[in-house]
Amino acid sequence: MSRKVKDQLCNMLIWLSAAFSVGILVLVVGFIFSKGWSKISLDFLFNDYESKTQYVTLESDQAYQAPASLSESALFSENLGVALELKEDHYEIVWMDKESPLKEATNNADEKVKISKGDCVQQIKVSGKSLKLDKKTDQEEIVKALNENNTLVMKVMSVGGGIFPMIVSTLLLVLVALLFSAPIGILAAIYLVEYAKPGKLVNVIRFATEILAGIPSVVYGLFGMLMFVNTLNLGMSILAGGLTLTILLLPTMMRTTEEALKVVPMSYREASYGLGANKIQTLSKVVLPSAIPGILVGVILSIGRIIGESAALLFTIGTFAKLPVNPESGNFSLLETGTSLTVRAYIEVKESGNVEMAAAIGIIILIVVFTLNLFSRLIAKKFSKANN
Amino acid sequence: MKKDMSLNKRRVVLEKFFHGVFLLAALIAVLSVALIIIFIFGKGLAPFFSGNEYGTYSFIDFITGLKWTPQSGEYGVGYMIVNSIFATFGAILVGVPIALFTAVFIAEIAPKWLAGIVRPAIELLAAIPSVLYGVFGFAVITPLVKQFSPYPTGDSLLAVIIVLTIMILPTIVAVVETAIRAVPKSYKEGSLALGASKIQTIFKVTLPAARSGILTGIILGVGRAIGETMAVILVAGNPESGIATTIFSRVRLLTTNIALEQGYAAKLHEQMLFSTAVVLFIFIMIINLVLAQIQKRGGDR
Amino acid sequence: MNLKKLLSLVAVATVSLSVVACEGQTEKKEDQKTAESTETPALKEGVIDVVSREAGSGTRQAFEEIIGFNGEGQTPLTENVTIKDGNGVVATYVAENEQSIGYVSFVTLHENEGSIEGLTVDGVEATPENVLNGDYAVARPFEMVYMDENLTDVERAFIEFAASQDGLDILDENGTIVDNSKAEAFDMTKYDQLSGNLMMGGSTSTESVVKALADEFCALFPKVTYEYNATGSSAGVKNAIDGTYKLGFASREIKDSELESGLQTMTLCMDGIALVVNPTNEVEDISTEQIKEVYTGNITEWSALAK
Repeated sequence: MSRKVKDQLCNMLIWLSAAFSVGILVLVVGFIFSKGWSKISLDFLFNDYESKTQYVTLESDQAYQAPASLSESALFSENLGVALELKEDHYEIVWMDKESPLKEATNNADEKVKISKGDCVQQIKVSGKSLKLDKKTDQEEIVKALNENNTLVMKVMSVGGGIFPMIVSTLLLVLVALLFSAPIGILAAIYLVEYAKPGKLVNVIRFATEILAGIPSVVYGLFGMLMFVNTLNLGMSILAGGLTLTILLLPTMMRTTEEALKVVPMSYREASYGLGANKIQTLSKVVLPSAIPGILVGVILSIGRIIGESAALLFTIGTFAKLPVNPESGNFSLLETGTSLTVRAYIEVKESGNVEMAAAIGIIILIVVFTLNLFSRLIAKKFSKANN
Repeated sequence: MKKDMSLNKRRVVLEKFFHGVFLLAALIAVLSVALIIIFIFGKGLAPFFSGNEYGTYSFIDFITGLKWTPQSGEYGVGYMIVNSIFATFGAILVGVPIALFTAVFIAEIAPKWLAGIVRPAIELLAAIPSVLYGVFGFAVITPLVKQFSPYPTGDSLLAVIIVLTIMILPTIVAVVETAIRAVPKSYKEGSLALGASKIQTIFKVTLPAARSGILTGIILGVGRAIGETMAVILVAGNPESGIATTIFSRVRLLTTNIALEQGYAAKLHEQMLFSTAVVLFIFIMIINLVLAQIQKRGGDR
Repeated sequence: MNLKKLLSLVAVATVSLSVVACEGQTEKKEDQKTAESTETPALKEGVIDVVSREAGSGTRQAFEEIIGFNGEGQTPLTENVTIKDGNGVVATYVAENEQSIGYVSFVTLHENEGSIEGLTVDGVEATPENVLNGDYAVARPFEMVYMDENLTDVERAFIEFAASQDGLDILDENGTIVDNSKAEAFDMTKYDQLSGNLMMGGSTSTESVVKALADEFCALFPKVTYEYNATGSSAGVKNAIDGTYKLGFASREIKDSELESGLQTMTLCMDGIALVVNPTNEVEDISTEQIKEVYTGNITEWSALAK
């Protein structure tokens, strides 16, 4: 009797614990989605983070017709073929004619500027006068200003709030970190599994790897700052961040590759040697090909780790959300600063208390990581089937 | 004949070359550790030796100090060390039983379809970036803790422990599950044949047999908990002095100290933050040494 | 099957909640015991939850200097303090914690109106006008610093723009305090076809206003781009000296030790530091003396502040 009760009690505890673990996940993921979901849209993914203001010159040569489906509160300009509407405290472009002069707008440097729906019009300069547009501005005056002259200057702001620059920077970080850590990690694992004989050297290498795996990422951040940012003089840059992550990833990379190599049956190697192949041939033609799926799983999981990392990047890549493009040459450069998704999420919370933005970034990260996990599972499954 | 010789020779050279390349790659890990030690220790230990350009600081005061006030030149990490240990210990205390039972659930109790849901769910828990745990803690856990706290704030050791507990769960579950699965079937069958119930078998036979795996999991959990930064920085409260006297006290931890102030620090202050990193590093070294011992003993069995 | 799933979900939710709740309760009992034995049992009723910023923050340095504590030979900051590492988290924290008091930049107060409330200091309301005429005591400058030899035309134009009527208007719109009554309009014809990158950085408090300023500047000169790394006031000054940033920004006065290297400074604008409390808090005024007492731990109860 008491044994039965005890058993049942233990059983209950076990179920409860499992429920708790899963419950926590539901809670955390639920929280992230409920806070951030309303922000997710294509604009959020592809917009620039900072808003950008431009002064554009417009030249009108014909009159335009208002579309039939225009809301009553919208202001329409026949002169420009554009409709504006007051949203909160700013005027937004809600409709544009296909041939509207706004499509041919040029900025102060005579470069063509792309103006799209959703951009804000902040100011109109026409016939030597200037009119600021906000909720206090008289609407009739706005329409009058828009239609007054064939040439006018408009101050247009494209709204930011997107995470595109961070996505690009994060991808570049993944690229740099994998570019270095994958070859090093794989080659090192090959040494440990295929070449090394048990002894002091192997022990040292293993111990070093264990230590690397245990070092907190904030310490990696300090090290990266000192070594890459200052000593190697890379400055806060994608490259410095990527190299810091390279070291951080090394132990994971080595461990997964080692596991993958160990799973390759000894008989494969023996058969290869039996056919007269040497060690390198055996490695490159027999062992590695059958270990590749396992290695790939390791690489994919590392991508997840890079995307989620923040403490190691805090002091190594910078905080300004911009594409890593050299402003002078216009080329992508790894020596430019940038900021990753997670670092920005932290700064958003810290500087503006913007939990929604952080959660929205979290949703994107979760979706990517979840897909990566699924992907690695698929590969692992195929792999185990192929080996049987 | 001569041609064969040279071919053979070339082969040997090639083999040697690749051997060298592989070895070099493996040594990069060692080199990295060496570099990290040189850089972190070099900067972090400098203040404790005379002749430091920014002035010296007593190591004893550093390690036992209960106050960290850079503006008045006091750099004591003693209280952070104790707080870090409290937080880690607390997370282990709460997290290990839950993780252990969850691992048992996945490996032994759950029907296959359910295990197939729970396992990836817990893996996903590991994939959530720590910043988001911080945001979650900030927005959900601290307000909850505040409800029970005698103090007017929810930023507390308890909040830190809860966040850390969640974060170490997946690490421990994964290791323990593997360890349980590695227990030979014959052990269990023997126990069941002797009339023991399934639960009895799990607790009397399987878990003891998986002991070294469980210990490994716990140690890895300790490592993860002690090094976590971004998840706890938003919920810890980070006062400039004081060991936690109750579970509701605000705490500053070794890791958060670095992340909070590194952006501003210069000269001696910056060096002292590196000294904080040295302390963390030593913790990790100790943990790894213990781990190596456990694995050695586990291997002997 | 579906029912099963639903049931398990419900179970999961209740269990996770109850476990958390249980944890809280059992620990509370223990805590009450320990609280009795420790010296300062801070009771929830009416205790002030003092919030400050992290050491090194420009806002904190300015705040402490104005109020007059925590400096050399002065009373140190109370040990009973919550440290938050940004204007934003201080605002969010105060919005969620009824008994807290914190300090944030006017810019932050401006952005969070409604969720936090600014106190009047010595009976003076926290408004730009009161800072300008010197009535509101807790104010500090936003400083721009640079090394003259590092500058190109782009930075020179930007410096001129920042001091012009157009620049000051933007600073004004973003919640900082400027006296734009005497400034002249920016004459952009002097700078024909500027191009280049404004490499800037420094204080986290100045980030949003400098970005607004730079955005307008880049609209005038479309071939100019800008960059602002928010690394903190001290780093802003340090990096301006070594040339990493062409223009550095600090949300406090520049120290004499920092000026030794030949650094040039320009006060961009003034910024008030608002003492903020939760909207449910009934206290409306605090004196500078009381601020000092609160932040050094001599006043710990809200009742001591309410009249």
